[in-house]
Amino acid sequence: MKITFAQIGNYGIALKSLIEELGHQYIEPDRTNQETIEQGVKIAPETICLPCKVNLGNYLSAIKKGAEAVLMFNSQGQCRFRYYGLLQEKILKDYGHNVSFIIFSGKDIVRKLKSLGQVSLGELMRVLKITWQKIKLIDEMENLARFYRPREIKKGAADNLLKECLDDLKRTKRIESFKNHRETVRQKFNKIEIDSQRDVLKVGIIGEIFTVIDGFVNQNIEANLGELGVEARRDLNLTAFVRHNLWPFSKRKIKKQAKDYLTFSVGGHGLESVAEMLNYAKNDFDGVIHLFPFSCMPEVTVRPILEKIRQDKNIPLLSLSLDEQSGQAGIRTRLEAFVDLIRAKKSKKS
Amino acid sequence: MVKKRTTKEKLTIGIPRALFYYKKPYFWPTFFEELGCSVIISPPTQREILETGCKNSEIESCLPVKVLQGHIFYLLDKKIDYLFVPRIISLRENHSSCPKFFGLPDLAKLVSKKEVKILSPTIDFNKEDFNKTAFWLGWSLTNGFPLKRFKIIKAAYKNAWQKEKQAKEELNKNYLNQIESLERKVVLISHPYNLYDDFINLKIKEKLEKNGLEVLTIDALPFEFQTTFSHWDFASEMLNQAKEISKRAISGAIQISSFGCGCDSVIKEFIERIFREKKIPFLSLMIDEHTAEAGLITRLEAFVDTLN
Repeated sequence: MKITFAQIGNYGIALKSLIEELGHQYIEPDRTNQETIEQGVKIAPETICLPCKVNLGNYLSAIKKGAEAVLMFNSQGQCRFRYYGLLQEKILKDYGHNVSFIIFSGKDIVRKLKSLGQVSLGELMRVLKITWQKIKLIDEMENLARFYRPREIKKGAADNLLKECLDDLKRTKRIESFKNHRETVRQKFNKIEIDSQRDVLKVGIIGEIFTVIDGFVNQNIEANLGELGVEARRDLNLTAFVRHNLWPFSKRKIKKQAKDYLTFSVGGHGLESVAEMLNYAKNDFDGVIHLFPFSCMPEVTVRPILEKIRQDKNIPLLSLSLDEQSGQAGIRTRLEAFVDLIRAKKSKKS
Repeated sequence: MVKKRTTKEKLTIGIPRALFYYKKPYFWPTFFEELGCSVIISPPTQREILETGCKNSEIESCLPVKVLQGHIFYLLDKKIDYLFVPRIISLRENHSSCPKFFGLPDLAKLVSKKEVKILSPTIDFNKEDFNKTAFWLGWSLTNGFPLKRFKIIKAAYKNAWQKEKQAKEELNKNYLNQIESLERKVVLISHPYNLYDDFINLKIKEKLEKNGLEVLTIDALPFEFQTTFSHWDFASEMLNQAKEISKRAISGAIQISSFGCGCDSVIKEFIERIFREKKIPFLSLMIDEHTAEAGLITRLEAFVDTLN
């Protein structure tokens, strides 16, 4: 079967290997672009949040390439994401696209994937392990790139290397080779020439998972910050997401961190946003950027709380609400203004 | 959680007339009054309340939350000891509420004054029966001998529940009368806090009645609960009721959703499909703080003309 999965950041590589190892063909949707979003907006419900529209645009481009089925994740959480698969299937049917949806959640991931691939449990575990290693490696590479971007002497060196490493990762298939791979990636990044004298600001990125991860949707905010001499730090990625869901203790830890401001999970990553912001404030970050799709229920609920933390802890906060209308120039201008502001604040302090 | 009363003064509890109030409009006031507290309910939404609400809340929040914020500010100006903002997690087993309800007490705490305490029982049907939640709430508001307290709370709960039930039965009876009427019938589909807040919905019911229509409200529909795809309790109920009413001879359906409502953006798609299948005209209206009367009237008139 030809299966597709919506684009999310650089994780297409990991999903590709998941689907291919299960014996199916992976159809990669075009990397999200303006055209994708426009197509998605046309058929999506008017007031649904941005990720759903982007997903639909992705599916349309994959269907053009011959996709027959869509693999989709269901968070079983409190926000609208829970209904994405259901809604998208109905909408695509309405518009005459005959694709079947395979919706899996954290609970039935093993059962669903086993029947999808017709494989034994042991084999599935091997496949999941490869996928997990790839996800972890992608996150590690992105972390490295975030560190080197503001410090590099030759502009664009870190970004080019990241691209190169991601291409390499596509070809890695054996579990044993991951250790080597990790080592080479580190060595390669180490070779980037850096200016250690540069005054680098540190900014934490918090918010809704899709918008913080996907580079196109957030207008490449991390690269833009790097260009402006700011090291971005982001605790929320797919590795963290999977860990939170598998490991109940980490959830409890987050709850404890946020308890002064928010005592209950409000769905999505609302609680995480509060906890992360408090963490960044504690670790003396120069600022925090909050990203979320327009009308995102959990993030909208916590925004007044983040505003309160900003006042209490005296840490600058830029809250960006993204929708299909957000443009590169608009975001860039606001980022520049924000960076100027935190730079001035820092020099005043010292 | 709540400090015990030491003097013989009556405690004053402020209940904002917004959002959760409309889910149980008779239960909470009666319950608190029977416990010996005095209750202040904010007046129906007015221009000033809405304006303070909009000014003091998150811009991207949905309209009902902004309205609630306005009512909270109104109550904070009055002399109250407690502000009642429950944390409604779920009103039905295996279901849950809108996630915006989860954070309401925390948001209320942000704007509240020091001397006003937030009374926020957690109502979660998945974890605890409602009578237990109400009991512990009552326990924290009364004092005296345990046995006496127990009796007072039990009586208060019973009376309050009875009142709520009576109101619901009346609503259902009214619906049964309406459905028999020979006039053209339209059904209004929305959350109770949009249906009954006349300032927010711009008296849509009255306007439709002026056009000679019999207006049914979806929450009056008696129905048998069946689980649906949705884990939202209100959405499941609404879908059940919509399915029920689509079988009746009605001329049209109007859905009112507030701008920024996340749940409605999903449910609307499914409700619209129910009516589309039965070929019943369906109008979807979006309301926010800027909704103008003239625009609404034009759209309603156009819709009424399409009905037969």
